[in-house]
Amino acid sequence: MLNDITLGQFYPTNSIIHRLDPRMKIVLTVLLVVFLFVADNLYGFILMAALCVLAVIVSTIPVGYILRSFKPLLFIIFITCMLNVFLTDGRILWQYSFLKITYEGVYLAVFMVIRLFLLITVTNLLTLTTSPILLTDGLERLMSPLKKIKVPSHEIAMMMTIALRFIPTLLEETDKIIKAQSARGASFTSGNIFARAKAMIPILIPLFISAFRRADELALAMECRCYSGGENRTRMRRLKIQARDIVALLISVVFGVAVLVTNTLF
Amino acid sequence: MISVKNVSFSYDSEEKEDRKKVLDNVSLDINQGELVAVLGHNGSGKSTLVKTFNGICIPDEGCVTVDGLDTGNEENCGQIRRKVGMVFQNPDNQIVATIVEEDVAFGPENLGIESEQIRKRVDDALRTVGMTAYASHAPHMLSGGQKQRVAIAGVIAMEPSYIVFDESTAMLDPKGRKEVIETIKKLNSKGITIILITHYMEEAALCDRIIVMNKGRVEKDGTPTEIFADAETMQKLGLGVPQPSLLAYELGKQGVKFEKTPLTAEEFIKEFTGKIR
Repeated sequence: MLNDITLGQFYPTNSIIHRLDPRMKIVLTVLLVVFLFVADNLYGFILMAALCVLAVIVSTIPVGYILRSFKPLLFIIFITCMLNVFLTDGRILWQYSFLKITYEGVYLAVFMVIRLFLLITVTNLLTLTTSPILLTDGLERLMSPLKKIKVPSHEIAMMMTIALRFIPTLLEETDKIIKAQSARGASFTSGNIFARAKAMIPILIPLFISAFRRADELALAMECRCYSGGENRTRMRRLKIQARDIVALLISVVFGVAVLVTNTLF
Repeated sequence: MISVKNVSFSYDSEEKEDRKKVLDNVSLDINQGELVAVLGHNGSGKSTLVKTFNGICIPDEGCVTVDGLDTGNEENCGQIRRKVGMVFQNPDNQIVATIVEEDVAFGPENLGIESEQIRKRVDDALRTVGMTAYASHAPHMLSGGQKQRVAIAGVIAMEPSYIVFDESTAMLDPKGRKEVIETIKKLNSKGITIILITHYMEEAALCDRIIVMNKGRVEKDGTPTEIFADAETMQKLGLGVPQPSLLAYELGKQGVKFEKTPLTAEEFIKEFTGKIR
């Protein structure tokens, strides 16, 4: 059960969106999220939705993949929708004792739902089209100007890389420990929630001990490979802004400006 | 040349009386191009000995020099670690990155090399260990032997003159072990000095020289033929000898004398059939 996990949710198709500079993709994602919050009318949302659909088509990621990412969030979307529908004051459409639906409530709820769906699509596109290593690389470089105000950008990126690297290893280890403890008669599926939580202790303690031991060995191995922090370190991969990155930025900005225009017009 | 002179070392301990010397007045030289095996049972100080080679452990007494650079001098540390690479037992705990080639690039990146140069070194290193086809794979999808070869590639990308293998085959299955040993022999034939800590006498038999450690001292130092001729002492030290050598030793006690201790089944058969005729 623990074997078939994929690292992140990267879906490699080598489309033009995949090949965009990760820094540009992170910036664009932030930009689009801002636009989504700025948009406050139907035309603005149609524009943003068009941009998202365009991006999904260009990325050649199966639509099913994107739809699947909505699933865990459907409940939250539903709750938000209901709260907006029932708790907004305004012109009353329907009323039953203390429950009422207002025209403004429906209006807000529809926008909120569209906004959430588009937000999920945009942020998912980033992780679906960017490998974890490129993502951390992009983040490190975007944050590097922050070094001047003592933000340890290299260290943060290094920690993320190592965390990603060890997720499958530690999952495998957990699997092994569960089997070993089951073989000694431990039961993880019976009893109430407290009994089950208590049953996790014999899994967690060995796991923590082993993780610390691994950390120790990894630190030693890194030291042997001349690691001494981010100073004077070069990178094998050079990130270069290319024509396609500029084009992507232009398209997004054009849409963003169009959204602002619709805001003032309607 | 790595030269160890009168080195003593003990790990820090809370109680002073507890401090046992892990290395006790050890002196030896490792010459350029050698393929050396270090044997010894657990706690004999062999791992500590090799850790003094790249300044992970600094001797309490005596000194270790690598091509004339003293490991005790902190300024030499970077240069020494660039010269002396280390491959450890558990391949999982020495791979840093989520993609094979990124991990191989880790060492050269730390050295501050130009990115085109890193690319070239990474490609060369992966070719040497025969992992080019896996360059863009995730390490956790590889077998133990493959992972260990990636770890070796990560070390050779730094272009060291010496590589220490600290029980690097201990966690591998026979196939993985064979892959790693073949890689080690290939590296040695390219002129890289190899120091190999192992519990497998068959691996030690492949080396030019064997150093036997016991209680923090160098007990024996010689060619495999010399070392394995004395099966009795080796067994007293808690170590074995390769089966053909042991058989020859037992036969020797019965009066069948071998001129040269056989290390492999082939050598044994060659010597033995000579005797029957």
